[in-house]
Formats: sequence, structure tokens, C-alpha cells
Amino acid sequence: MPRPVLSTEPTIESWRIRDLPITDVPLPAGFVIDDDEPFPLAPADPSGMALARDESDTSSSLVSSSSAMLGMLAGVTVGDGGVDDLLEQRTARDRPRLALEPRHATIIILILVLALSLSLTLLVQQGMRLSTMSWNAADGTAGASSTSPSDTPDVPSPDESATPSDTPSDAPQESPDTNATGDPSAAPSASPTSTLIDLNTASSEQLQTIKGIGPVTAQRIIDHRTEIGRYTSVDQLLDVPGIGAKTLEKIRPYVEVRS
Amino acid sequence: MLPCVVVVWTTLLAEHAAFGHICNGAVGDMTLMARWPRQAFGPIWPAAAIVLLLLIMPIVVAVAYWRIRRRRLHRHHCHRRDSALLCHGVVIVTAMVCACVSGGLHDLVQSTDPIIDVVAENGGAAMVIGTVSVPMTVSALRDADCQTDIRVHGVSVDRIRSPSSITIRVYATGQSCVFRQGADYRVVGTLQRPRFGGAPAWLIVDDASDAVTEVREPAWWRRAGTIMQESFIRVTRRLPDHGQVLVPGLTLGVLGQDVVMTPWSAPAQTDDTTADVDEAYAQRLEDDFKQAGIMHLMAVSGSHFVLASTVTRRLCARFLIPRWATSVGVVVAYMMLATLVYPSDSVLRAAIMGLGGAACLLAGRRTQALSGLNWTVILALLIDPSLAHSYGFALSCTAVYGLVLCGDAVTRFLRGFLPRILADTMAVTIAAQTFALPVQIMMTPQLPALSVPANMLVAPFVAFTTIAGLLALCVSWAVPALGFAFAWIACLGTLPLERCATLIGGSRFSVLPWHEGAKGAMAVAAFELAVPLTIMMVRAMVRVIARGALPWRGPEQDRVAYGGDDDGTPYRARYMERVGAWWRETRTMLFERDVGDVQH
Repeated sequence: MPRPVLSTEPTIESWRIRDLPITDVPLPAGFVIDDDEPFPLAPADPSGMALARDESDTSSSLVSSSSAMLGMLAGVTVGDGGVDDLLEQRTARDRPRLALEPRHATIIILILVLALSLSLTLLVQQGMRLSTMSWNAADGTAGASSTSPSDTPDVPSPDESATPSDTPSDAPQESPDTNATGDPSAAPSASPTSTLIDLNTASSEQLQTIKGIGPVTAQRIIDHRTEIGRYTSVDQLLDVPGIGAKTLEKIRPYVEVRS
Repeated sequence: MLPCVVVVWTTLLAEHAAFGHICNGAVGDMTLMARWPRQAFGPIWPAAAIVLLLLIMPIVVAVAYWRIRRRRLHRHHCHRRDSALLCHGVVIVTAMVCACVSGGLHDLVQSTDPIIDVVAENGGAAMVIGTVSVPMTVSALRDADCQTDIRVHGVSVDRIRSPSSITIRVYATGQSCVFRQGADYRVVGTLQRPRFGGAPAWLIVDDASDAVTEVREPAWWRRAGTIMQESFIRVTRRLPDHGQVLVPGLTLGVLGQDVVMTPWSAPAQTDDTTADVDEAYAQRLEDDFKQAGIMHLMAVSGSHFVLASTVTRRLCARFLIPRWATSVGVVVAYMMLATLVYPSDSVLRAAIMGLGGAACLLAGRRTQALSGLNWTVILALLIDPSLAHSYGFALSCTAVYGLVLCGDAVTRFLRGFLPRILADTMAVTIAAQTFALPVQIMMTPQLPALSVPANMLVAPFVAFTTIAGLLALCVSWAVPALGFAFAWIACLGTLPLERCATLIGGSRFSVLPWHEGAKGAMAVAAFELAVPLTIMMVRAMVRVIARGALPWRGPEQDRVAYGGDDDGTPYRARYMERVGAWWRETRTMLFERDVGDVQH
């Protein structure tokens, strides 16, 4: 290392920091000592401030860069606050932080997108279990009756047959001359097939007992029947004007075609 | 992450309001949204906006990142502060977009729900299959006996089955009150538009005997939890009146008179000689608690989870169990506690935050309360946007934010005037109430004027009462006598609570009427902001006056005196420090044996 050459009067004006031998100090990433622009000075550096106020621009930048270098070497940065806050450990930990680096920002964005996708997945999953649900009382009875706390006997009547057996039960009251297909009031546990209305032999009043079919629609069904002779499948009801897919699904459980 | 939280929450609220406006010009009423004709342009408008946002977001992120990289490559300016702000801005924009997307899609799905359609057409008969998500409680309607919430899986209206995904409120009477938490039920009833409350629809169960059928049993842990809860309730029914009401409230989060027990747990009626809770007394006690401002004690919050975690950690430390096993134990304790208490949004918040703390324990890092709370709120709001409108969640979060952000400052300020214990208690109350007060005003437009003294009076008794209650909850199912002993201790602790509530809640000055709604909340917030600002201004003026009283000795002294805080501020002993010094000297003088120099 060469000996520094000092002038005869080592005053602050003649001695420059550049005369000293420079060792290569690894700087942190992104930290550049720029002599053209003064680095913002730390407020806890009164001597630096005082000097910067009095000196010219170049020497002020010298002083500022040297204090910045010193600050960087000492581990003190611009953002460090007063001593009191550092002593209060809890406050320092819980103060909101507003400065983010790009890698922090990337991680945060990834976590946000992950949370969003989780939310959407849960949303999509909600509608997917319809087919596995036990809509009929017959499916759910075995479990329900064993855990039922009350002592009333559980009547295992299928839900679907109970309702069509209710609607034709109105028929004897409405029109006594209909031959009801099945004995609805006497057979709550009867099998579904005996209570379904046969499309080829039903009268208008019988058809009207089905919910979703009124007098006009019943008449149209009968007219279509006379037109084509006889129904061979329940789906032929789609050809009847006034019956669409939705209505067909509504009335399908109550009707059948018997050959 | 605090700006992110604010942005996400306000975006969700604004999006919900905007969705209502877009769909039907009505704000905040989900049922009116369903009247929007879905054929032509119904949900396409909001769906298009959401898709557009989804396309814009990656572009914005990519552009921002490219610009950051380009800047760093140039390097002629050290703009660390600028790039930090830019990164923060990008994160905030991403959070806003995510919140918009999540909230928008949830609102969209809910507005096209078939149950909402039925309710919009003034209700109708329906059959609903769903899972019960909360235990039964006493109904708020006069003509029903019990109520519960069902998370619907499918609904059958006019024999058309459709999937559904909303949570509705179910009211049932008499024999139909057989709901167990966690079980799947098929319920036949009438859908109705709700007259109050936050549920999107009500289902009034039919009076038939087979209106409610259980389709699937709850899971084994859920059944065990329900058995433990109900044995505990049965034990508390043997306590005096105030114990019957308050001990379940402090432990489980539900007041004693609101509990409805399922028929499974009813014992043979031989030993059930105690009557039900006295309705009128219980109602009056509840009102007194609300007036006094200590109703938050009756809701399960973070303090229960902190107790559970402390007990677990001390136990594990006693047996020198390694840290990873301790964190697993803490997680198990949290899960058990969350299973046993009645579910609510504040329990959800506390559980998620507690799990974050357990993760920190696993990683060996210290917890950061603010950071944990921020992430809890962001993740909870993104995954379930309906929490943004939930008052329970808002109250819980704002109280903890107040504690974390202002707690230390208020403690330091109060320790100057009051003894340490009083200062700490009062600081906790004031800090928690500061942020929670505007939300409380929006719920009930009343200012609890005496809530600070009320909270300070009851604070010493809450901790051991909660511990006794939790112990009773843990053992009542096995040894009812021991459970009764613990419950009796808890009852002793609730006596001061009851006295304080009756004394303070019953007085005329306990509440002040205030403007209602958002305006009242903002007025309260402005008032709360003005108080610390006034204190700081008064202090600054006192400091200036004190400095001005120094004799002026020339420019040198001038610079020293007004030189800012390089030379420090002159030391002025605070009131409590002077009182403390006097007390120490007096104590030494009076009670020490050797009368010599008083040194300390």
C-alpha cells in the first residue's frame, strides 16, 4: 500500500478523501455513491448537516458521500428512527411497514392469487354434489330411523309415490265416473307403477289431476293421441303444443305408457 | 400489508354496492337482485367486467415488473424509495383486482341461486337438503321454537331439483327441533323473504311429523363436541340464575337462555328437576350487559385461544417437549376449542390468527401481531367475501387492530398518570374500543359512555372465570360432579359481572344517543381522531411555552435551545414517576429497620 502523500498544511480544504488508498468494499445491491447528486442526509448527523450548510456544493457532496459510506459501514441507514423506538421492542415489531422490495411484492402477489383461486374452487365445487344427494325418503330412511330419537314409528313411504297417490285421490271427489288407476287413499306404500297414469287410456279429468296440466293441455294431449293413434313413449308428449321440456320433466313422474 | 387490507375491504364493500346498483338499482338487498331478467343481458354485464379485470391484471403486473427491472438496470439513480412505493402500488392494485373478482363472482353465483328466485316471487313451498352449520338456538320469531342455519346443497321446488349454495335461516317448531350441528337434513317447508337479519332467505318448517329427516349423521368429532357442550349446559342448569345465563356465555359464546338442546342428549328425565332459565331475568340481564358495554365478554374471542395456547405451551415446556411437537399440540388445542364453542365470525378470525401463530412457533420465529392480523383478514376476505358485511367479523378485527396499533402508545401515556396495573387495563379497553366504536355505532346508534369504567371493573374476574368454565366444559361429559365444581367457581366469578352490569347498565347515564348509520360512525371516528390530536397539540404548546420561558442568551444559546432534538429534550418527571419516588422513599423510611441514608 503506498504511503499517502500529505501536503505541508493538512487543512480540510487541501486534504481530500480521494487521496487515501481505497480498499474495495463490497457495496449492497443497488447502492451507488454518486457524486453528482447528494444522497439524502441522515438527520442524526448534525456535524454533517452543519458543514453541508456552510460549504460549497462539491465539498458538501464529498461530506455527504463520506457520511453515507460511514453510515453504510456502520450499519445505520436513513430509515432508522430514534433510539427510543428501538428499545421498545414490541413497538418496532408491530409498526406497519410500507416499503416493499420486488421479491416481497412477487411473493405477496402469488399468495393473493392463490387465495383467489382457492375461493373460486370452493365456489365451483358447491354445485357438484346434486346427484349424490338422497332426495327420496327411501334412500335416507335406513340411516334416519336408526338415529331418530323419538319413539314414533317411521313410515318408510317413498316420497315420490306419496305425492302422485295424493293427487289422484282428488279425482274421486272431482269426477266420480273416472276409473282411478290404483287406490291412492288405501295404499300409501304402494309401488309407484300402479299409480301412474296411462297416457293411452287416460281421460281429460285424470290428466288434469297432474300438477302442471290444466284443462287446455289435457285436451291437447288427447287430441294428439287421436291424431297419432297411440303414444309409444312418454317423450312424445314433447310434440304436443304447449308442453316443453320443462313441463315434461314436471309431469314425467306421474305418467307412463303401457303397451 | 395494512394498506392492502383497507383496499381489499373497501373494494369488497364497494363492489357489493355496485353489484346491487347494476342489477337493479337497489343497494344491499340480494332478493331484489334476482328480479333482474336473466335472459338477455343479466349477468353478462358484471361477468364481462370481471373478465376484463382478469385480463388487465397480468398486463399491469408485467408492465410494472418490466419497468422496475429496467430502472434497476440503469442504475444512475438510487431510487430505492421510489421502487419500494411502486412495488407497493402494484401489490395494492393486485389486491384490489383479486377482491373485485372474488366478490363479484360470489355475488353473481348468489344472485342466480334458485332459492333467491323463489324468495323474490314472494316465497313458496320447497324441499331443501343441506348441512346444519350452527347449533340450534332459541328462535327470534315468536311463532317458532328454534332456529338454525343450513348450508343448502340442493333445493326442490315444484319437483324441479336444482343445486344451490347459499346459507339460509331455518325456523322450526316442536317436534321438528331435532337439528344436530354438522348433520345433513332434508327439510320441507316454506321459503320466505327475511324481515330482518343477514340471511338471504328464511325457511319455515312445516308442521308435519316428517318435515325434517336426517340424511347423514355428523362426523364423529362433531358428535363428540355436541355431547360435551350439552353435558356442560346441563351442569350449568344447576347453578343460580346469573350462573345459568352467564357461565355458558363466557365459555361457549351463547347465553344460557338461548340454548336449545337436541333430543339425543336429553337424559332420562329423572334427575332433571331444575327449571329452565327465567326468561324475563335473562332478557333484562342481557340488556344491562349491552347498555354497560361489556357484551363483548359474552362472545368468544381471541382471549380463549390465547388461554388455550398458553396452557398448552406451559405444559409442553414443563415436559421439555421439542418445539415442533409444541406447535402441533397448540394446533390440536385450537381445533378442539373451535369445535367446542359456538361458531361465529369472531371465532373464525381468532382461530385463523392463532393458527398463524402456531405456524410461527413451528418455524421458530417470533409472532408479529399486526402482520398476522393483516394476512388473516386478507385471506379470510378473499376466500369468503361475505365476511366483509359481517358485523361480528368487523368488530373482532377492529378491536384487535386498535390493540395492536394504539395499545402501546396509550399504555405509555396512561402510565404517566395512573398506577401500572390500572393504566394497563384502561389502555387495553380504550385501545380496543377506539377502532370498534364506529362499527358499534353502525349496529346500534348509542354511545356507551360508561363502558371504560365498566370494563375496568370486570377485567380482573374474566380470566379465571373463563378458565374455570373451559375446565368445566372439558370434564362435564365424564364426571358431572367435578364439572359442577368448576362451573360453581365460574359462577362465583360471574357475580361481579352481573352486579356491574346491573349497576352501570341500569343507570341513566350509561348510553348517549348518537346519529345512526355511516354518518354517526364517521362522526365518532372524527371525534376520536380529534382527541389525541388535541393532546399532542397541547403538549407541543406547553413545550414551546416552557422553552420560551428560558432567558434568551444570544445566538449560540438560541441555536442550542431551538436546535431540534439533536441535543435532547429537557427531562421533566411525569406525575407517576414523582409519586413512585415519593412512595419508595416513604416506604423505606417507615418500614426499614436501620434509619440511615435512604438509598434506592
